[in-house]
Amino acid sequence: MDSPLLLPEILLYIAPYLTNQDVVICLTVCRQWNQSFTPLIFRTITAQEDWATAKDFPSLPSLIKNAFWVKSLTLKTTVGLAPFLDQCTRLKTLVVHGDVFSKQQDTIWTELTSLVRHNPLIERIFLGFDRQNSPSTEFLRAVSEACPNLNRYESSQGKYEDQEQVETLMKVLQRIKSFSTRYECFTDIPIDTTRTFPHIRDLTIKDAKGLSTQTQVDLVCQCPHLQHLKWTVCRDMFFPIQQFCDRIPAACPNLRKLQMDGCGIPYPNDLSRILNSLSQLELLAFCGTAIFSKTFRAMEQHFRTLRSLDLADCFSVKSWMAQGVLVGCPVLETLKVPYILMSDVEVGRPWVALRLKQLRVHFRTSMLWGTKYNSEHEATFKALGKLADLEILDISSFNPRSPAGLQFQLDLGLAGMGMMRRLTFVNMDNTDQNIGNRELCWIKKHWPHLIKVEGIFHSVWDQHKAVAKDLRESGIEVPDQVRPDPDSQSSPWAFDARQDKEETDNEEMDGDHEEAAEYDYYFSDSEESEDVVDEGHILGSSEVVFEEGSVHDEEDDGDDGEDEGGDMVDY
Amino acid sequence: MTVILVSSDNQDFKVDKEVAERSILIKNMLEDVGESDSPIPLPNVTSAVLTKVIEYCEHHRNDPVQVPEETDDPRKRSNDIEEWDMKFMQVDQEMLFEIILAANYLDIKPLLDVGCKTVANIIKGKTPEEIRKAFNIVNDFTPEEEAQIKKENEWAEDR
Repeated sequence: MDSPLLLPEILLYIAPYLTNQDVVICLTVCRQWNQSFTPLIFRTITAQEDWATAKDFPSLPSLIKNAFWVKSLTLKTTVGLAPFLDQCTRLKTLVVHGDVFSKQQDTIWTELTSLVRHNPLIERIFLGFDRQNSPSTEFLRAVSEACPNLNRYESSQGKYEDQEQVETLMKVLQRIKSFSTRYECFTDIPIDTTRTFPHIRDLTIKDAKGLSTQTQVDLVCQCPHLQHLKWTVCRDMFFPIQQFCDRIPAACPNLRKLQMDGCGIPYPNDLSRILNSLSQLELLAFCGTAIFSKTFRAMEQHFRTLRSLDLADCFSVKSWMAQGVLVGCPVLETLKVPYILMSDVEVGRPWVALRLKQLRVHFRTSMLWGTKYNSEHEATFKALGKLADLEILDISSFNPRSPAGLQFQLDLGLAGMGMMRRLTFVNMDNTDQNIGNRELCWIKKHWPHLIKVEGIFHSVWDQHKAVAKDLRESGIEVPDQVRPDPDSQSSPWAFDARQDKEETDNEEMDGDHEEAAEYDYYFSDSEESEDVVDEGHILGSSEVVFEEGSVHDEEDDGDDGEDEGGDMVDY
Repeated sequence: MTVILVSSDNQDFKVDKEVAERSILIKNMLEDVGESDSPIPLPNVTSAVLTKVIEYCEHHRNDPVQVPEETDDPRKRSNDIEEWDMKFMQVDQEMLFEIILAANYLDIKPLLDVGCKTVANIIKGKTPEEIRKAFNIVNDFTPEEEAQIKKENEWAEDR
């Protein structure tokens, strides 16, 4: 019995490196292994409506027997699951969403209330409604009384019509660290704004209908320890800029992380007032709004402390701004901006953002083939090469017609990136690569931790497929690509012409506030984008499409919300 | 500054403090006793194993400290072992297990990770019988029990 393979704790370390198939095989090796691996496969359970016939769901007796091991439970139905739910006592995460609320109106809250009452370890609750329902007062009371460990409560698309219910919800808020309400409707309910929510560190208010902006400011101000605010007002409201600046910095002195979109901000320059009112921001994400010089200047006062900056889905973000961030933010770890001209990197000051872990920027060439093209590439590779901590590099463009991005070519200086040994994910979509065998060997040798590479690797389709196959055989995930239509490829000249136009149009927008008022988008949660990276769509939130300098909003009001629950399932 | 580690078979190992502190256990011990020259006894680690462990810590002395991940059940890759580590782990199975146990005891997370990845790579793609053979494990299930367990848990394969 000297083998550590018979020690449960060692097996628990090994298990995460195994596939589900391997774990199921391990269950049958011996009794000791069976006992050690069983908790693992029951840790996360998702009950779909068709669970009784689903191939990827355990039998009810087996589920009941192992209910003790279930830590994360997602319910899209509870029909037939009562004997299992009765046995669950160690839940940490409870997610309920789907049609369950409309289909089981009569029973669902009794069941969930009882479930919560006998699961004192619950740390996180997520409820995704259908715009017709909301939690019962009894349920909320149970949550506030029986779950001392609750940290996060998130709710989406609920409809609140009862004052007692909202009062009880506020009691829950007094207990937790993180609260999120998205696309919810509060019908004519006066909210008591005299309470404080002393533990809230993290607050998300997105499209809260029925709450005046005054009430929303009040809510934020009731969180004296707030650190992270994600806030979007409904599109038919004006963002309360003056009240924000007057009250929130004083009421929430620890506010260091701010995520907003352009909703309700008719004059993008007003963002500078918000930035001026706050100090030492560590995280800043704007989305769907223009970033003009004035806003950028206001942003500069946070450069010393900024660890994460996301402007990827903003417009009018210029190359000089991207370069300005890179030479101005010494502790930056995440940067997402639309593009940077390689010539700006070449002639600009050296980057100081050397701690970057995640960089998303489309490197654009300003030149055609020639000597300059070589030198700007070399300079860019050299600048990138200093980012020794970089894990995610996304140089992709969301425009399939924008060619001539950063070319991963050894004769253009790719070897300058030899020190980026922590790279796990590289996205080179729409950048017109021509990766040959030499580059392929180099990449595999110098980026040993690569998990995933995305994009078309060569203009010759067969060569692209050969590179993709080779990478896959090395254990690297390579998503399939659609073969591009050869006719649609534009020449670099065409690209340059478009580029010029885009720049000019944006300049014009600077002075045109009427037009700017029409831009309203959702903001992308940083958490969501993290998930998105996992799932491999680093461009998941590309709702903003540039074309000929204008911006099109996808006319899809509730899209973000419809699948709300779905986003959370794979947690 | 150096510290002296004493293996279970009473051999002294003089190592740089920085190297020894790759072990969180030793780091904490040193912090507890403060400045002291007294040797640190490691009664659970033989000299053969301690030699290997020190070799690992020497090589990785400048690595950044790992921040423990918060996520509950992340699927992790096991085919990203660095070349040097891979060679380092080319030892017989008994030594491999000893290294894992020592890394666990001494609290050297990166070494434990590499050891567990190596074991995971041995398990991957094998049948139960092949796994038993590889690790010299006795099957204490009856064929009926084994079939029953397999059937009961098939659902988890394709999640």
